[in-house]
Amino acid sequence: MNNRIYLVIFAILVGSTAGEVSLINHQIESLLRLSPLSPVVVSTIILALAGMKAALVALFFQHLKAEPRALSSIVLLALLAIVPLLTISFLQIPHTFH
Amino acid sequence: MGLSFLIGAPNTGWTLYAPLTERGCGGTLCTALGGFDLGAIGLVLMVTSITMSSVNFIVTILKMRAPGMKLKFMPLFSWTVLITVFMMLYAFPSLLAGSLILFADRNLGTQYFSLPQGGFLLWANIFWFFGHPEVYIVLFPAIGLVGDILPTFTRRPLYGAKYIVMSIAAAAVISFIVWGHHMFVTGVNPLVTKIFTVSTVAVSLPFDVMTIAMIESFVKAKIRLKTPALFAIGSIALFIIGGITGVFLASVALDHDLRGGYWVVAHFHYVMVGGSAMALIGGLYYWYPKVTGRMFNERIGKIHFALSFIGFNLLYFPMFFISDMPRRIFTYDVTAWAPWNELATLGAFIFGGAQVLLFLNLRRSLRNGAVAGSNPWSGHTLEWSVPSPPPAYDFEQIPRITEDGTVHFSGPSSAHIPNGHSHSTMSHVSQWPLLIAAAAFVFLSGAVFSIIIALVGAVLGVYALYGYGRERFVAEEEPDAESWPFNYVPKLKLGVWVFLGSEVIFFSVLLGAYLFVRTNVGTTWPQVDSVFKIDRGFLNTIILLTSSLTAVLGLSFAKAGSKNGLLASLFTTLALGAGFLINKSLEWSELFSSGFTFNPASTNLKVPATTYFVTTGAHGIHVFAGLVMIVYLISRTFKGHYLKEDSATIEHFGLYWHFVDIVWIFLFPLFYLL
Repeated sequence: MNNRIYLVIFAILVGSTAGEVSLINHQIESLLRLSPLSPVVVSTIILALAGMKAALVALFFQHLKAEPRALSSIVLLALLAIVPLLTISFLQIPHTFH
Repeated sequence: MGLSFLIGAPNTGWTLYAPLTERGCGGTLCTALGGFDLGAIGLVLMVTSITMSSVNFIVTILKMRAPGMKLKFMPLFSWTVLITVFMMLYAFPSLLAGSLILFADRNLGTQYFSLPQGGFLLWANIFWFFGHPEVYIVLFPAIGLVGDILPTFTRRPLYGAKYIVMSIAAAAVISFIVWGHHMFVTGVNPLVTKIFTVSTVAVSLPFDVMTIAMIESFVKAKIRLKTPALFAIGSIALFIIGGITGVFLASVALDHDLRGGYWVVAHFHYVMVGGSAMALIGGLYYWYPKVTGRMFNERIGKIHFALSFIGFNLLYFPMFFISDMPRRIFTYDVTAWAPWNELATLGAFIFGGAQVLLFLNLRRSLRNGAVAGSNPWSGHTLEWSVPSPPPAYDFEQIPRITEDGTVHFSGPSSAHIPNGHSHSTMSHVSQWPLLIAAAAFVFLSGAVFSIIIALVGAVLGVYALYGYGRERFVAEEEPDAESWPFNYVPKLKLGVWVFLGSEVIFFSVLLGAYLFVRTNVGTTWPQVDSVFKIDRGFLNTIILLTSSLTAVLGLSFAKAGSKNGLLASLFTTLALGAGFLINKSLEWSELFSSGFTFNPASTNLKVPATTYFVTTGAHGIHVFAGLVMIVYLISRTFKGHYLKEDSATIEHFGLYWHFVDIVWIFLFPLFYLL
């Protein structure tokens, strides 16, 4: 990969971070003259942006885009293993505490 | 862990249930004894060691197989070890995160496991996410042993070997979603119990396939009932009893009554001792001639098996009849339980005493046993093709496996040099790993005893790591080694990625703990930008993102052979990383001085403070470790290293640094924006 791609990715990363902050400050809605987004929507978009940024770093800076899929699968397997813990743990909460 | 017994051993059992492990839980069992802290540190060291070993095993099996040794030809034992170490890689970081949180709770004053929002349920989730896969981690190598022993002594291939491997892999995957069946009586959501009932029943199915395939291997076989075979067969029989009695515990209704009694004790030991330890003893007998070059006494071996089998069943089978007797008690006043307990005691003496025969037999045979020869059992796996005991270089010529599975030997092994030594053993003799381990022990012990001890450990560690880094050793790679599906991935890079796989779990568990606690706090969490200032978090995010850019540009300079460019990139990355930590420490200082601590007095703030300082602290330590690496890389770059074809180390560092960046990419919104 050449350095220009790295710079483009960096620009996207910085831009989307600024986007996250703007979203939480409701600057984007005012700019586009939209009614304020609900907290759930804002949270979802922000977490999606974080996921996108992480994927960009992994694909381009860590070069997973150019590596065999088997290499990515080592990390994906880890994510696959942890997702049940993160989701099922939350299902326990309503009954236990509320 | 051993030292902890001298200063007040952890006295809550191996499950370390919270809040009994807290320093100030107010109960009679919780303790301020330092044994808990040393125990937690012992677990941290153990998991670190396990992770390093897992990386080593995975890379070796995936990258350094003999030419033609496709995955489909691998012996079942190698397969089970591969699957086991992957499970270790993904399960143990959860224990690491839990141990660190426990240590922080007891020594830094954080409140994860004493908060009603975290407490027992949080620990139980973290612990059993590790704890249940751990059972299979112990079991799978034993299944692999049986799978290697059976073909030798039945003189026919293992029936359905491919399906056994697939079943073990399936069981490994499912084992990560069954941990909740250890928590059926904790009052968790009924929906959750249903999910875990289904997954627990599901995990028994692959084991059915395995046992049926192994039993099928005896059909029309010419069985030789030698000692290893007896233990393997005995292991299958006992595992069937252990497995079937475990399926009952998948039912919430039955588990409610059975879990606290002797049924569970019997079930667990039929699996772990009957299924696993008996097979491991079989493996000891099987490979004893290969390891020592001597045969053991077959008659004593068979007597050992008979006594072990009878003693084991006398010990544990009666426990099924006293399922209403509570476990973890040493006395009782119910007369109906007495005969079964007496029978179990008799069995315990027989089973324990029988093991003396094992040690006597193996000890005596070491000197007086008949010479074994290279292949005393007429085995078909590669280890039986080399002399007993094997030379340090293993193979004089390279074993090559053809498409039909036959083995040919041709060409000298690169590990073998004529004087009887090997390149690999000579190049791996090093004192540094031992010193690194000792330094880690001293450093972490200092966290309990004295900061001075910790400093001594830190200095020793830096010295040992530097020495190890400077040491040149060459692990020769066979140019045509079988390494699918990682043919074009260098083994060091694969090792870094495997390590990062464990880091994903570690940070996910920390984030999971944060989310778990925060979700329970509800509306009392601080408003956005009130405690965690967005500007500061945003600045740190930009700093780390920029450092990732400079790190990857450094790799470009290294590949292009530009020493100055590489140095400039490394210095910039170092400055940015240091800037991140300075900004973070200023933020911590401001938060502390404004009363944002995990002090119990600050009712509304102790929960966010606990999660914030632990999570960002763990991340900060990773950043600091990265800075230490950069200093080392800079010192070597000045001497002309890491340029052009030598740039792999810069890439490996970058993989780690970018990962640390990715973690922050999630921490920023979770703490500062949401």
